[in-house]
Amino acid sequence: MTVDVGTQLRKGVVESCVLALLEREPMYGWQLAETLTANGMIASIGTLYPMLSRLRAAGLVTTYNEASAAGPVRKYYELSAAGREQLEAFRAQWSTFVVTVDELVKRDDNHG
Amino acid sequence: MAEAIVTDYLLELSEALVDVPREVRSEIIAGVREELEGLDGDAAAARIRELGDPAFIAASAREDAPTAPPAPAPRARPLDIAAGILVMVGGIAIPVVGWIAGIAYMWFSPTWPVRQKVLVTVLPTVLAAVVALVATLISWFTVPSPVNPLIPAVYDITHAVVIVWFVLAVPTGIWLLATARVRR
Repeated sequence: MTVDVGTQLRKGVVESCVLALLEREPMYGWQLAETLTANGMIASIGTLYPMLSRLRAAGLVTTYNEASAAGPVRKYYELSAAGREQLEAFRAQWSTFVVTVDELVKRDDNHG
Repeated sequence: MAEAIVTDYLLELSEALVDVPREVRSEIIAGVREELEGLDGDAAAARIRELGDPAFIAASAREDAPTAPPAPAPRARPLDIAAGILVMVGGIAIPVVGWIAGIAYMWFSPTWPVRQKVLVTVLPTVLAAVVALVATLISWFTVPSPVNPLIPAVYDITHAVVIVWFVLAVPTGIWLLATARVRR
């Protein structure tokens, strides 16, 4: 059985993408879900909420409630200081990681 | 009309998420409810379409969160009951050996926390040892007199130790039996 490569790849980075989105501004669940599904990072909110629970349990995000103009009180997720650190650590490694993987997986035109 | 479809959807979602860890489940449902609240019929229907099939949401949640197996019925295992009874009265039936067997059973069982196991093992033993020591000291430091009934003799010490041991073995055994059901 071939494991879906896309799914495997996303698993490793989607949490960092959430941290990066939250770095720009605090967001509520649906906002995150829309952005992430639009970018093909998650399949459904079924993936999003367990992830948010994990991030919160790890202290990387915090939540607060705020009433929206339209009515419902929304739970906003916000990046914590620890989350910011984690995101920076990810950023620091990501670019070299991409280059390394690129080097490793690129087709060798001389031999093949 | 909006309310009816929202309620239906939330119910369906709640059922689909039944085997997902409770915290994740309530988080998902709260998130969806928050999103659908206050929308009119068409908007709610559109949003529900976007959210997708509850079964699909549940499948991805299950994939992502460790699934909680259905809680086992709170029943004590036969071996745990045996351990509790042995700790309680095993020492009376077969002196010392019966109690030790109960303690051994208890240590092999995952049912009780280590702290409790240590207490059940140590309490009667330590207290019996203290009583033995005190009684021995009394008999040593009292001027020996062949017929003084106030000085504990060896068999008195043994008696005291055995009594103290059982006074503690019985309640600790009961404690094990009482907690065999709830600890899962």
